[in-house]
Amino acid sequence: MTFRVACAIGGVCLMGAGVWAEQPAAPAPARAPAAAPQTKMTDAAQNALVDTYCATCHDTITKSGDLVLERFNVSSPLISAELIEKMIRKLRAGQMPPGGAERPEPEEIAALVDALEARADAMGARAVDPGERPFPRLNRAEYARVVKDLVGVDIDPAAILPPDTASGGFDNIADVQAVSPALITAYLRGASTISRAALAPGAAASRGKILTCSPRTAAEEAKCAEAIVGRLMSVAYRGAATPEDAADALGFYQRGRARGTFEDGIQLALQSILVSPRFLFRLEPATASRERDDVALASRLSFFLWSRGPDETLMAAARRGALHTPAELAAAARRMIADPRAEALSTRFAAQWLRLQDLKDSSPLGLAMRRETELVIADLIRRDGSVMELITSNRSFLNERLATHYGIPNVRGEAFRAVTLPDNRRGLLGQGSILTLTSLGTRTSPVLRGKWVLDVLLGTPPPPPPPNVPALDESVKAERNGAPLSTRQRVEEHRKNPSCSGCHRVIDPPGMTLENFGPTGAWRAEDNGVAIDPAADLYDGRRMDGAAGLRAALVVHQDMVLRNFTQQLLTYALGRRVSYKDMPAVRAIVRAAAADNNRFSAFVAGVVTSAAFRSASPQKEP
Amino acid sequence: MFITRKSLSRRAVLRGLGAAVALPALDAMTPAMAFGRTTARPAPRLICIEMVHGAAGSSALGAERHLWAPEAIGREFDLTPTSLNGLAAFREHLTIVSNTDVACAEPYTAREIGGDHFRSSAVYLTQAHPKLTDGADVEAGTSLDQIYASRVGRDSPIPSMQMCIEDVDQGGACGFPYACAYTDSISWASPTQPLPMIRNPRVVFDEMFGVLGSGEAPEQQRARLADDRSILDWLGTAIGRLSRDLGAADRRRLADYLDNIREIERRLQAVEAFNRSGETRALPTAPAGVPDSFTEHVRLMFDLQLVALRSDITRVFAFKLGRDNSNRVYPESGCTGAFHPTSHHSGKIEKILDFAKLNHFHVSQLAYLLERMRDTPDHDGTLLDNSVVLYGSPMGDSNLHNHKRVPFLIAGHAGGRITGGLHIKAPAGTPLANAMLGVLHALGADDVGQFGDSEAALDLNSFNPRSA
Repeated sequence: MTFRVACAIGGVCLMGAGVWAEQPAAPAPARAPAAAPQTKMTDAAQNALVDTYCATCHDTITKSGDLVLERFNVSSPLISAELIEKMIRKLRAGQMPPGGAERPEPEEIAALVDALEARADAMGARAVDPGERPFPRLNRAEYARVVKDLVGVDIDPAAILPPDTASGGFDNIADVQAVSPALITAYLRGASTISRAALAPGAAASRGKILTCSPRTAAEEAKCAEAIVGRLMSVAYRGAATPEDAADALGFYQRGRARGTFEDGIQLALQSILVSPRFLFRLEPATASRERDDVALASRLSFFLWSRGPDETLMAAARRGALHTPAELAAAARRMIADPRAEALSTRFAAQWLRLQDLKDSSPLGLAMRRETELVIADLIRRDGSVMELITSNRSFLNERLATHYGIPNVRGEAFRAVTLPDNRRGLLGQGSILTLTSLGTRTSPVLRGKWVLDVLLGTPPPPPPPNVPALDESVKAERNGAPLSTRQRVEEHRKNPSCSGCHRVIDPPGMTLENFGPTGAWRAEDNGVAIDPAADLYDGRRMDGAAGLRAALVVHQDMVLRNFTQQLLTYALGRRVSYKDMPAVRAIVRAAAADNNRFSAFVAGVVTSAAFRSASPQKEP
Repeated sequence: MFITRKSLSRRAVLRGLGAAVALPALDAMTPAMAFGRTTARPAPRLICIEMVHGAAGSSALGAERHLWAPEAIGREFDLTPTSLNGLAAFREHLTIVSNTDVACAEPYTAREIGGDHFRSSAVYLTQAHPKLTDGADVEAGTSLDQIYASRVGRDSPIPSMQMCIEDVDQGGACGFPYACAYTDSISWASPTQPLPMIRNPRVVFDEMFGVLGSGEAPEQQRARLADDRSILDWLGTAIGRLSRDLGAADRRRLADYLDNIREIERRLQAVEAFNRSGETRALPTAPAGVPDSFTEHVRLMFDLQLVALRSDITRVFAFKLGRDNSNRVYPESGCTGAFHPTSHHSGKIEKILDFAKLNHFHVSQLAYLLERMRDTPDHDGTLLDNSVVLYGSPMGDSNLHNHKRVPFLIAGHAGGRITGGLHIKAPAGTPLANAMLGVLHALGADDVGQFGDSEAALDLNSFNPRSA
């Protein structure tokens, strides 16, 4: 017996509106994709399947999800890659057709989505578009690291620079980095303050780093100044300093020297270097030569992997042209992610991807939670483990405060140490950080947790709630007929409202499996006196029993998890939002990584050898 | 005139007394800052304040109970039941404009439904409908503060400043396909140029006084300013040289940077002109950072605004007190719930009253500013006489995410062009833009004929008894 879901009455969740907006900018595939999987499904069969199962709701009248699939013709030369990518995302995730609607056999869906992917990959290969972005400027986090490398001074960038505008979930997206008088003033004041602080009496470490020579006679001064300024520029300008740049900086040295001491001269030269566009901006010349390309690539690599400028090893490789082939790039990346400076991949990339900034708790426990997640990711990167360990691993790092919170004995002191977790704590979904940042103060929120799983792990964000939807607290009391209700029971009550159920039957179940973790991630057997029921059905019908069930479901859907991870990594690496045009490249990276056990380094190698990462950001002529 | 660190450091005093380190009351530190150089009446000063999430009084039940606007229109209004009651001492300085709508913040298309939280702040001072994009191609309108700054800003070293209270780093905060700029900023230099709002009082301080000098001896300061000028000069040539190697789009981006450098040069010149006047001015102590307490943070920002207004460093401020979707808890308000959930009151009266406590708490912050403005002599009156302070929200009933009957009030007299002591209830459907156009006219921008979706300027000095 078959039946059709009533699509017009809010029974279906219009998901995916937020995946990518209609922005024209963008990029594309790395290299010609690996041979697309051969499919036996004919074009006619694909069209028939779409017509039968999709076009009822996605018709020209209902336009469910703002998507029209009526008269869908996959072999039309006018078929849009953007449309195909939307379909792929929903179908590959198993989110369409929606629960309650008639579904084809899983094999049929798989064959259709294989065919759609092969087609999208082929379209991408025919029109390779590496995308573009304007030159990035140093954001707060990069500014602090680069200043530390240059002069050895620790600064709080939030006390110097205006906030970074986020886009695509990250703080390093170049095209939204607008210039304002406030920003220029901040850079100017920062240069003045930092150059003075670095050379202040008593600042032994930074003085030692900067003043690499000390002239004893007036005759020695010029030579020493040249050496000092030369070193500062080579680090600050990341290999791009020209003789003109050197003359400029020495001009400032002379100006400062003329009205004061030798150190006054160095200070002013340093101040000028700290406001130079070569320092503040990552300029990449459009007039390419192989060496200049490689120098630019060195910076791209180091800001991606370290959030700071290249070191001498990397610069040397660029200068001798050994940063050019995919193999050379991948090798350089492997060295860099094994370096301690790759901390930025956990404290910046992963922290923003996972939204750790929403963990506003600065108590020792809150800080320990954040640290645990950062350490687990840093450890994964160091061991070059499989990215799927983020879901499944029982390896973690705890201090006494957090171990006590988890009920794990025998961890003493403030220092973190490696701990083998009990099975219920495996993966990110057992971590206090994630469980707390998706809670609402004193209660858990299966809705926020479910949304986090869909959005952050699977890359299929649900739409925002429509207006006039009451929040849970108001709509359902914490008791019924005098009997207390658990959060789960209240959420289920809430979901009886038909205008809510379409989305919430997709959003809530992953969150419900985590109900054994309280609002700060402590284990619990009861909620409001009611025994926890952690079983729920995923949108694809799969039964999940507690956190273990959710982890198993994510492993089944690991394609989506890894694609989304790759998409996030690519966004952060490129400093631009990715779009449907990048999806063939994303799939190629995921395929190649699968052949290397999904190692972290395989994803990094895929990103840095992609056309989007390697090609100079081309400029559209006006 | 030179700025020197002569005044008493309250922080030092507190440290001396062994008290917990408190933030300095900047106004008390700056006896020599008010200098009224000219005999001509100065242009009115402007502070535009936004609070998010509408008001309890914008809901149907809340309006019945007069939780935002008072019941009586005209001059005989009673603030007691309203969220404005904390400003009772300043009622003669208030012009309450109620019953206006912000139609440009409503969704225009199906895709925009549900995006109210991400779109509203961009509408508040622009009264323009933001373009749906999550890219750099943002577009709204030029904001009221910037329209005014483009007229009077050049007479002071810094044409305008932008400040805020909440951080902008919320994960997925701009997940809806609206660029974060729409949520982060209320100040738009042009329809495509949102300005960053600064949260850290220290950064605000450095922007104000970094330009003016940081408490050095006059010779040192002169040398430093000369150094700054030489560096800025050099940047002009250096940028020209660098541009040669770049592609067209990057050249344009660098040209933007150069324009901003020129603006900073202009500010430095203005400062040097100030300094040549010979009088010594004192500089307040720099604030340490962001206070945890909302009230302390807001007051510190007000202190900085007052210092800047008194010393004529700038004449225009935009100040964002909240951020959409914020779950901040305000323990001092008497309401224990978080901001966003509390704003979804389900239309139930006890929840609406709870939300009104938050509104009352937020509005009451203004009293601190207004009191100091009232007590500051300025030309032939007080700073409050010669200023306009706007306070409002681009949302109305937060439970419904609508933008009707939005909260809005004006304090101050714009140099005599606004009488005050008045509650104006606009006819149903009146755009808030009408009131804002009235404000622009009161500020002396009489020639502006249209602002956002305005139909006509609202007369801020009269009320129509029939509209009640």
